[in-house]
Amino acid sequence: MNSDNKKNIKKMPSGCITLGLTSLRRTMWVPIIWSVIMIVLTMTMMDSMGYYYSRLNIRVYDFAALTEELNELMPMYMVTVVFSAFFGAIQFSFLNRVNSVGFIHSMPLTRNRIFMSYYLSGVVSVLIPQIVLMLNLLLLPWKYRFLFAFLAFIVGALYSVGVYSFGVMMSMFSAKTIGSVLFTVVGLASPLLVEAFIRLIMSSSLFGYCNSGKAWVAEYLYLFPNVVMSPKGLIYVAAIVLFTFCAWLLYKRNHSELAGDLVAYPGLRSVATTICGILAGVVGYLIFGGNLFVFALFGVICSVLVNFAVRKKLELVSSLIHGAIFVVITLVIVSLFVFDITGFEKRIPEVDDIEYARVYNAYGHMREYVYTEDGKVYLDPEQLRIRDKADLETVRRFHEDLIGNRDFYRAGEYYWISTESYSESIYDPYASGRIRIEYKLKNGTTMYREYNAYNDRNRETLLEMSAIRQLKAQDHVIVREDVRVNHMELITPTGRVPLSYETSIALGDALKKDILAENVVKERGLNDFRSPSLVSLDIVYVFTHGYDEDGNKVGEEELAGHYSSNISEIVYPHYTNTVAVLREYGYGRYIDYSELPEGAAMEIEKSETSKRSDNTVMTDVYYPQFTNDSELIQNVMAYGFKVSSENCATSYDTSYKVKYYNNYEKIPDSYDTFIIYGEVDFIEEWLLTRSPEKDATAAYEGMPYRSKEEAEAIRLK
Amino acid sequence: MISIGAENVIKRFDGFAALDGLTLSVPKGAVYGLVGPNGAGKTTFIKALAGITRIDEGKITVNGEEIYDNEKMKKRMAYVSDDLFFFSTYTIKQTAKLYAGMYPGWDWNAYRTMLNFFKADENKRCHRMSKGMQKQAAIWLALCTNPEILILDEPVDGLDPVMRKNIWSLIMQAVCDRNMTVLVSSHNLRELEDVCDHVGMVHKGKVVLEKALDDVKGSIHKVQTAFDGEFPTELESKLNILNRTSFGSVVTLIVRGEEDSIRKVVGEQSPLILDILPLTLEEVFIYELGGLGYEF
Repeated sequence: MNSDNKKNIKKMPSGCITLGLTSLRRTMWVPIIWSVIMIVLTMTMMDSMGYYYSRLNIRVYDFAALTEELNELMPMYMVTVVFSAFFGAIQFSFLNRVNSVGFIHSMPLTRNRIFMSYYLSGVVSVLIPQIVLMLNLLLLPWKYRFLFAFLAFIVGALYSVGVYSFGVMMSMFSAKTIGSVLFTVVGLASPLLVEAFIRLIMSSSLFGYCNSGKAWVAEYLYLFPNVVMSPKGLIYVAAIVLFTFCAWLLYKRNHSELAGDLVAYPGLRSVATTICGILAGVVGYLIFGGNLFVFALFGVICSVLVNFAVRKKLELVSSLIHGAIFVVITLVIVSLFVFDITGFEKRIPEVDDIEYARVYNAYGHMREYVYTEDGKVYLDPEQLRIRDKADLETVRRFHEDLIGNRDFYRAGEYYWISTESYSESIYDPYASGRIRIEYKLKNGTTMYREYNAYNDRNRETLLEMSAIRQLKAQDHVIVREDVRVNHMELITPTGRVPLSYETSIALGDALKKDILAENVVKERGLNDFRSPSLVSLDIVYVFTHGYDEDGNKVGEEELAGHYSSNISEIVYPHYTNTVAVLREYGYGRYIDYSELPEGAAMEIEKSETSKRSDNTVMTDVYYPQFTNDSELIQNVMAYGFKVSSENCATSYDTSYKVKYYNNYEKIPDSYDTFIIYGEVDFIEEWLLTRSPEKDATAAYEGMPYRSKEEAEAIRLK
Repeated sequence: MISIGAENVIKRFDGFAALDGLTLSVPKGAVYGLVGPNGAGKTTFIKALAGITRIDEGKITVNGEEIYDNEKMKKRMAYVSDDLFFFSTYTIKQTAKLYAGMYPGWDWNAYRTMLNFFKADENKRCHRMSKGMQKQAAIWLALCTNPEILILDEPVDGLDPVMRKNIWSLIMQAVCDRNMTVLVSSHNLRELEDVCDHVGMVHKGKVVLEKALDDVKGSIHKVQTAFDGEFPTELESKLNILNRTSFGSVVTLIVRGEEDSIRKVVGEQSPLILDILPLTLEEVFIYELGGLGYEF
């Protein structure tokens, strides 16, 4: 051997590095394009990000807050996932051609080294764009840019290497490049698809299934916030190790002679066929809105087609077997979900097993936190948690009542109006609230159920439930023990009346007592909450304490300066304490309406409802009539406030929409509106003098008819 | 000394045994021709020998060591496939650098010499070259790795006669200089006859005949003879006749056996003409496999 060659040998890099560099050089176009896209995305967002971040005051080393800001980089991470998946799928594409696999495997390298050369060169390739992103982020005009850029790199690295490793693993199952890409895409999508399928089939088949709570798969797709402090980062690292190990194992067992086959392992052909069939069935089921027949049909067709593709010929027997497997799978699914052999629908935990329960409207917003300048502050969760055993028994009885009406709700043949608040869902006779029941069990798990609770059907148990303090607290913030009244204003049709601090406190205490004592369904009746709101209280309140994101208690002093809110509470005739306090403090005239301002006026619009042959009602509306007769106005106002539940148990034969103007001449657009149900003699007498005509354009129809007796029976039930 | 050895090698594809107990041995420094009909298992064996595929049973050794995943041994081997592969963007020079990084025996001097000899443009992308040029480049790049063992699958297929001669010259030179062992598979038996000193005949996944070429030719002969009258039927029982054709009164026999004993047996029948001629390798192939039931 001459000296030239001896020198060459000394200079030569190892075979691994040579092969790795070869792979890197050949596929460099992918990270280059990817990096360009990252630069373009970052630069287009730089202006808005820079403006925002230069004003965002986050505590230094506040990883949680910083990582939450990583949401801004979502477009870059989506690009990362796409490119990483594609790259992982093609990195070992040399296995998919007879000549290339022959060339590479004839090289003087062990299989392990070949695998590591290609795998690691791919890791370098997918990390390059993340480094580019990190360098770009250093251009942000923000003092935390270094830490932010570093965190962005960490998240990007985990995503890119994670998805890349997954792609490499999935590509090993196919000996065809298109198959590798397909398996990778399907592999990435399938957890989400399967989760969506399970959720849909459970929600459409299982009575009471609650499609909410933590996402199963998506929970682990988002690495932020808290990638550094939470175990999610470690889970990703573990997943990377697992995927790489599996890919290596599969590579070692690869049959080079099968290059070009759709499935790289003969023993897995049937498995691949079945899985593809299941996923096709899942997709069909999701597209066609939960049709199991479509699931079976898509699955069988796909199984047969995939079987044909993997075996490269139409084998009748094997196709029939796969079709039969699919039918069996469908039957198993039907048994599990449609016939509820697991007993899901009937399960209600025992009181002794329950730590606490929560009941709320599924579509409403249950205020659980507020935002202050310093960030999120969580309100006291105990205010909404039902722990009392007697109350928990009430919840169980309500739950049993809902399950007992399963067939009725399944049939769905009831007229309903969707509501957003818990109280609305139980006050209105036609309201069907979507009620969610949440049991936190002593074993640490949480059980969710969700039902339509139709007022008409579950009146008794709804009545019992409405007495539970935590449910009242959802709609009446003032009932919460972590709320303090700051001040109030009395809202009357004659205008706003500010109240003193002493009066506000007294009224707050009285209102709290009245609401807690209220038997809302019985006392408010069917429609009473829409009865005259002649007087209401505009309450400004503050929370006395909360908890920051680290679980530390935050006092009123810290909260009060940053947060307060207001609500309105209607003063009903049966709020005896509140009415008494109003009178005591000299505000009785607003209830009595013994004084009216100059310019007070009123419009009354009468409606008449009549029954039709199809058992629905037709409502005729008359043109509104105007008056500034102060005696009539006072009588109407007084009558309206005194309307009680008895009057509201009507058949809607007659009602009056009343518009009160405080000062019609000066402010004609400012008025208050309320409705009086039931025929009122003195109003009818007055209207006779006017002879109002019907307004054909305002008439409406379609509500179901109830006789007075029926309405009364419902109210008193 | 045995350079390449295979013992009861079995390799199955979807239940079909492509190699069904194949056994062979290639002496060091030999130029071993692996011949056989299409589908006999030659390429399957060669790929297993090159470490590309994994066998199901048996063993394949190089210098006494099993070859599969044997990095050390593979550094001393070079393989040129009939279905060539080059990285799509790589030039000859880049491919040479890849080889140089892989094979410790890589010789840049030899590379430059061969580059000039073949008048190749080292900056030309391999993909852009003709199939013949690619094959040529693949072989001389393989030779530049200074292998102890060279495995060739249909090496000169697609090359012009001059190039074939040059390639074989290079190979034979290396055999002489370094006692390189060559295992070559080809359908071009006429060409193999000129270069091989050993031959192995593969049929249905087994080696049915393995001998030094001289011995192969020495064990089967073409006998041209003519008799006064009918062909003596005794000869049919006394000779191992593989094939018999007649053209007029001249009978041509393909006979297995030693030349001397054949001459004696035929001579006893007082032939008018008796000529014993050597067979070409092609003829040996045809008649041996015909004896095995291979239909033409």
